[in-house]
Formats: sequence, C-alpha cells, structure tokens
Amino acid sequence: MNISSPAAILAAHLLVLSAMSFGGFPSVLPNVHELAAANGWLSDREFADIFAVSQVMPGPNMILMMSFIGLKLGGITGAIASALATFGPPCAMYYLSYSLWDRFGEMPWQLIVRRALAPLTVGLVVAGGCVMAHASDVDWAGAAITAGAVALTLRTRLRPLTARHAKTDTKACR
Amino acid sequence: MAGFVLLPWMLGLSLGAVILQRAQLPVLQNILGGLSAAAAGLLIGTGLRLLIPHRTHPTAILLAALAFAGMVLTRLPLPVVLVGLAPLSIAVTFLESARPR
Repeated sequence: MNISSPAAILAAHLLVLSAMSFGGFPSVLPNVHELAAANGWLSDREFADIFAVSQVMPGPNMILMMSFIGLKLGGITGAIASALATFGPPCAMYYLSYSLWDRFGEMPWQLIVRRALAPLTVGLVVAGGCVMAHASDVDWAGAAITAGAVALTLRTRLRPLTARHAKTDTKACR
Repeated sequence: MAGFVLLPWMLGLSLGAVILQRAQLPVLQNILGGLSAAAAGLLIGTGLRLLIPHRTHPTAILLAALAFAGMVLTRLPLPVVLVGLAPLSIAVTFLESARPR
C-alpha cells in the first residue's frame, strides 16, 4: 500500500479522528464524509449505502463501516488498515484510562471534565446524524423516514438498538 | 479479544462486501436507502435524548449547539472543534460548580 494512496490517507485521518471520537461512531462521520467527498472517493449514495450496511451488520459497526471504505479504496489491505486505525487508538486510550481510573476516578476535577464533555457529545452525535440524513435523504420518502425515526426515538421509552453507538467504541476492545 | 473482534469483522466484511457489490440493484437501492434514512434519524434522536438531562441548563444546550455548528455548518475537523470547545466547556462547568448556590 503506497504511503500516498487513498487508503493510506484514510487510515491516517482515522488514526487521529478515532482517538478523539467522543460520542463514538457518529462524531467521526462528518469528517470522514467530507474527506471522501472532497477526494471524490465516494458519492453520497455510496456513503449512505455503506452506512446502511454497517448498521444492519451485527458486530463492531464503526470498525466495519470504515473497513468498507478502506476496502473500496485499497482492497483488503485498505480494509485492514482502516480497521486498525479505527480501533487502535481508542483501545490504547481505554486501557490507559482504565488503569488511571482507580487513582483519579474520585477526584472532583474528573467529575467536572466528564460533565463538561457530555453536552459536546450531544452536539457531535446529532451532527453525525444530520450529515448522514443529508447524504441519505434524496427524496421526500427518505426525509419522512428520518423524521419518523427521530420522533420514534424521542417518544418511546424503549431504548433503541442504535443507542449503543452513542457509547464510545472502545467497547469493542474488551 | 482477537476472536471477539476478528471473527465478526471478517464475517461482516465479507457479507457486507457482497451486498455493496450489488447495491445498484433497484430492490437493494430501496432497502439501503430506507435503512440509512432510518439509521440517520435514530442517531439524531439518540443525540437529542442525551440532551434531556441537560434541558434545564442553558449553557449545556449552547455548548451542544456550538459543537453541532462547528461540525455541520462550518465543517471544521473534529480535533479543531474539540480543542476549541472542550477547554471552554470545562472552564464553564468549573466556574458553575465553584459558584455557591
């Protein structure tokens, strides 16, 4: 895999983005979409298709979605590079924070940092959803489905299956 | 760990690749289009639900709106948005918690 090949560029971006993916899966979607669109790697339609397929697959959805993009850009090597770049940094951070948690977990500043990051996570998750809605909703039917899903999620007390994406993807490391 | 991640990844990747190869078929186009529209709506709804505990808190809503605007409206990279907003959010939260009620 060439260092300046599309798959390598994607993996390099994912290394940075995944380390900062507060809110998990959705928070990297706007930037990855932007990257793919700016380089002409994927159309909105293809991006939405990849998103849809990764959502219905069981297993690590975000890793899978980035793997599909890597696969399209650089074959199986691209898929492996994307997968590693997606779960490597959060994995390392997970182990690091887990060992530090016992020492600092009870400190007041810990609570403040966690409380401060919560609203940012909300903004990032909604942003990810809006970018995907923009890519998927090509007609009124798509927009109606999106609006219906928003209403359903807000109205029902049932926890939707996708709520797990709001948690950090470091879960996959355990 | 390897078995827990690698096996679902390989299965998902091969099955998904087969579906994506045939994504141009009209029937799959309809299914995938509907799925991604619904999944996008679920993401938006999930995000808004995460806001419910903070709904009486104007600064939290403002910070959420700023993070959203940074990503969607100005299309800034995620690290830029976080480097800009995380210190601000931590400072505001700290000042609010230090203030006597």
